Amino acid sequence: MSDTGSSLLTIKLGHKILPGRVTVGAYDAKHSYLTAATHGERILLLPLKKPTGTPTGKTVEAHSDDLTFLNIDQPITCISAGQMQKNSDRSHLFVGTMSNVFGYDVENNKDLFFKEISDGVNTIVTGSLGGLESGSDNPIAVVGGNCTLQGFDAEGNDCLWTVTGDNVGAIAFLDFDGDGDNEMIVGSDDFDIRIFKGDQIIGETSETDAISAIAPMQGNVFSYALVNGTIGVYEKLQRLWRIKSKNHAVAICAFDFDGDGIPELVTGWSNGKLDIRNVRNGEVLFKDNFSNPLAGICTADLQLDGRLYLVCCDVEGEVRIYQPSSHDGRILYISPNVEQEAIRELSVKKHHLLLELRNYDSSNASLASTNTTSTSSSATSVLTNTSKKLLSLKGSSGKSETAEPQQKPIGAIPAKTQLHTAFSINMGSNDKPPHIEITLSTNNETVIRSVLIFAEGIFQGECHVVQPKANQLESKISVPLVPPKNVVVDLHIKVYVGYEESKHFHVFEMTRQLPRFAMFAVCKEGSKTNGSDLVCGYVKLPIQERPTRLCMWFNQNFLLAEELEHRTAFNLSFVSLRNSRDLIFNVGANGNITVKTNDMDLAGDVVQSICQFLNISDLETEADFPDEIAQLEMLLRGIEEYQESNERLGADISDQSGVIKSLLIRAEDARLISDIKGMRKWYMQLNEVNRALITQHQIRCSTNESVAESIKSINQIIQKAARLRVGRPKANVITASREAIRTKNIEALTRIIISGAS
Amino acid sequence: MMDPFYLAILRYRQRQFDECITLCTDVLRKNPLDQAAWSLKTRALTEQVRVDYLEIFEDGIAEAVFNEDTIATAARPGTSLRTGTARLSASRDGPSPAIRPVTQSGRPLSGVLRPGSSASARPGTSLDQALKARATTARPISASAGRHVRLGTASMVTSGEGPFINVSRLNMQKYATHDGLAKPLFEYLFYLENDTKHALELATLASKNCSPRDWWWQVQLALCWLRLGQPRNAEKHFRMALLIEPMLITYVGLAKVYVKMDQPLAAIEVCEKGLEKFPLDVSLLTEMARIQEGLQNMSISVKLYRDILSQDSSNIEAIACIGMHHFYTDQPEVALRFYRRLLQMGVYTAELFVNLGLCCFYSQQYDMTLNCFQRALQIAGNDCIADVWYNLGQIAMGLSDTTWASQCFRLAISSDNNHAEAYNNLGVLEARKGRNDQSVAFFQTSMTLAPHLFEPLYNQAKIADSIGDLQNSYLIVQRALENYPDHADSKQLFDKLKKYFETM
Repeated sequence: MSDTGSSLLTIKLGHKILPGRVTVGAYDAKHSYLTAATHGERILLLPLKKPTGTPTGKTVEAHSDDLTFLNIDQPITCISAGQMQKNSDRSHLFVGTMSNVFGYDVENNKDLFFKEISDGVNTIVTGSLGGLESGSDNPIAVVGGNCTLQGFDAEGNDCLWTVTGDNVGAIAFLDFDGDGDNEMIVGSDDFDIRIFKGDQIIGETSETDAISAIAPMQGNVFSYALVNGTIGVYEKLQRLWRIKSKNHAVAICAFDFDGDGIPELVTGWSNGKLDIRNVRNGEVLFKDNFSNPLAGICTADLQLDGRLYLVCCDVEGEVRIYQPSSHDGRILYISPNVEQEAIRELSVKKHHLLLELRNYDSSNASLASTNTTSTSSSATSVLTNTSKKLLSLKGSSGKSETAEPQQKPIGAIPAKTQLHTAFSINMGSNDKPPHIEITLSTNNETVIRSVLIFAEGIFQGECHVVQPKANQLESKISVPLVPPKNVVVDLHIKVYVGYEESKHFHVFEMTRQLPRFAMFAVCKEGSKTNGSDLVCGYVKLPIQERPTRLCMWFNQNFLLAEELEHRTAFNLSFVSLRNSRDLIFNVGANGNITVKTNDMDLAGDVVQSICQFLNISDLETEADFPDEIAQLEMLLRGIEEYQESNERLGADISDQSGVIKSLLIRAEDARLISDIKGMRKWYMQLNEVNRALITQHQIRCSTNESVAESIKSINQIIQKAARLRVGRPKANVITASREAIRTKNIEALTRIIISGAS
Repeated sequence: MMDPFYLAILRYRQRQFDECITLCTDVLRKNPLDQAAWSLKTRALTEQVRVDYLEIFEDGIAEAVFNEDTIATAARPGTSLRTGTARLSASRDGPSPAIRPVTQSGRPLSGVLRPGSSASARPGTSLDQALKARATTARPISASAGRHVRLGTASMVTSGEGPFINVSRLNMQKYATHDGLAKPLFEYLFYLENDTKHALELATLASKNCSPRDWWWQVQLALCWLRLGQPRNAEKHFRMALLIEPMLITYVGLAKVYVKMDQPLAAIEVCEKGLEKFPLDVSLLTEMARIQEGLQNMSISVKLYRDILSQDSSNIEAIACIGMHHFYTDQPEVALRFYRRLLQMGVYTAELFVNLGLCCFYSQQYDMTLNCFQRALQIAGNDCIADVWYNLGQIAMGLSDTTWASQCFRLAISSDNNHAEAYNNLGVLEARKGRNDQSVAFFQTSMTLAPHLFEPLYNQAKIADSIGDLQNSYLIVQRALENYPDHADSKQLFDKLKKYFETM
């Protein structure tokens, strides 16, 4: 098989392509068209044909007659093609710009719908979706904007509206729970991946950076790419693998390259690399290099026979088409790798063994010099890079050799060495803000050379290394932790333990979990901080639950010095280490809880956490957050004002652009009849009007920006208000709020936030 | 004595607007705060100059050349009014361009001259070309530059003390709260002052104030945006108006919006939706028939025009379009019946007599032909006299009187020195006499004046071929084929030259 491992055809478009804005659609139900956004606010269409009779790997220039262009006249933010009619194979094109989205019937040169979306469009996905009122058999287009998700059907009717935590970076449709209907996977800029069934969230997971792409693979497996260059694969909410690169993954796509029926993950990188990886383990199956950064990857059915081809474009307009290899192809192009891989693995093994051998030698030598006979103790001497697992909390290593401490063999440490870890809250000093401390200490004179903590979302780059100066080594070390979000964090800790002068160290590996609300310190009962009267926001949870269970929840989710005992009714107050604001719990004898805080987001976290712990699926709460409500009112009024002035500006601008057009015509007319004086006059006027127009445009841009900002804040407040409820009431809050915003009914909106219904 | 205000209302109803205005002015002089009189005067002033904005809606040169609203640059034939100048015979329905002439925009000649039917620019034409190829030289550039100029100045002067309403000092917020004042004021601003910007401002405020929501304001907002050249905004407001209450004007307006955005199929879809609510409505059918004609779906268009005639048997546009269709499909006798119907209805124009004359000639009623042309020459104004002479020249050609024909064509050119077809025919006559240099000059003039014609190109190529200038002939015939890909003679010449060059 000579056709594997190289591209079938390379087409040079001769036009630049904007990264991430590439798709393939069968607009006439017969041919696949490569569709890509290009410069000049245009979309380029190229029918993709399988070359007949030409040898593989040929490079051709795209014929200019084949290329057609669509004028959009606004910066294109995303494009997508999808079938919108149930009984038709024809695709429609969806284009998102900074202020609107429209569906377009390319074949008939006709709009499907045109919708204004004032906060911009980040991504569009089409397909059928379950859990909607309109039923799951009608395909819809879902538009991800600034905190919002909007769904439109083929007529442009609204069929879905919901909010999410931040800017939507990526959307994918796949059958997550295996019920035959698709669910929506949404990745946003607050590092979260959420799974929506209709307008309800049925799953949530946190990543380490803003999500830039999500691609469905097969079944409930999906891949994702982050802004920081990470790509990975999830099966349901279980991450199978991930890798990080210093380049950015521009596009990810599922494609069955080796023809085994299981799709592989194709990734296009910003440095021009293309790789195809196994979904299960991330093993690279195929690599190719483009001379420019990739712009997009799609699959296309070139002959409409069901066989998919891989279409990759780079930003300079080079398109390569790859065909899937036939079934026996896999072994062929893997085989050279297998050999090399084996050799590499063996040489690494050899290297390690040699190092170990040298170690034994040096240990023996030192032992010989001190005239002791114990040879077995050298067996405990290990290299720093081999791991010896000692779970400090469980006790000693279990080894019973008698390595006497006074011998101090190089690298060896007492067998009973234990490592203690403890979390504590440090209220901070003048030069240090309050933080959580993890204290690591050994139980004897051994010292800690270095600590490596690996945790998602706490440190920049996920990993933190503490290595004290050689003359300040101690047997106790404290590492400050400041988790930015209220989530459970797993800390993977590696500690190098040894003696001050030793060159080899023992590695203790352990995993500790940081409770969800670790950043809250308990205040002593009775000694209320003077600020507690100022807490006017609250949420009441009418849950009929024994206080014992709630005590368990407190013990599990907070860093408490001593565990809470069972009580009937109690009050607890905490103070946040982040901003030293109060969080107060009043637990009634009947199990009703009142959470008092000014931070609506935090209250939402608490509600979600309690309900998750107590397995409550539906909960309606009563809440009041005067600060947020006041802010909401202000934002809504601001938007109304902005919109009014914006409309007026819009009219002014179109009026003036009309004037400019006629001035240009007059000037050109004067030029044609060689009336240079007249021409000069018209062009002078044109210049003035033009300058005024530019100024107005700048004003409009800045107001637009602030409107977008306000809309985002409003959506975030709604999202926070929704998080104060669980299950059905949560979704109700979102739908009711949307209605209230549409009718500009601020009172209703306030009522919704307080009582969950208008 | 009759109450002067009542009299004013009566005069308004009788459409005697001048008297109505005078009476209102008197009332207002006595009581300047009389809202009723003010509103009536506003309406009377507007009615004097009011025209159906949607009917005259046309893209000027500026709009056509700097067109930003069209999405597809090269749409599939049959889905666009701007591209695909001459469709291939396979997809064409109706006579070929060799039989039925095309306008500059590449559309077939229509039965009536209406805004948009002779659109001067087609996509891809540069500003230079668009300006040079303007159909009528008599029209000032400002009229076709796409801006609406204030038309009502004359009537204002009669009122004596400056303009009736000082637009810049209007307190829009105040007027917007009162529907009875806001609506006449809006129409005054829109139709008489042509001050779209302020009209839009008023409409925006008024549409916010009124409850329940009023479709009328939404439609007016859409009209304002359409005039400002923002069809997308207009579409939004038309759609909103449709949600409040489906009205005829909304459907027609929406169809115009889609035509402006060059989405004829969407426009037709809108009209069909409108026909569900307003079955057999003439204005919707007319809109559809025009679009189908532009798409070169002649039989559908004629069928729609026939539907119109069964509703409104004296619809001039429908009769003229059907008549022209019959004329160009070799049925001059049938066409004659339609044109006679127009004559019976009292249409008395030079164009009609020319058409009658041509129909008579081709249906061999020679006795009437010259009489018709004589009548046409008697009543023809400056704008169409050239066409009358040109058509008379055609008759002369038909009678093989080349001297007479050449005289006619020269007269046509002297009346309108941009008459490209006349130049072409003169060229043909010169070529017959063997004066190749002269004829080539005529063809070239014709070509620069009307780049959309294929005839002068083919003729020139033919002459170049005959005198042995094969290279030029080859190049020119290619351009002819661009204009009309199916022209058999051009194809033949092209194939012959190609073969010749290949054998060399």
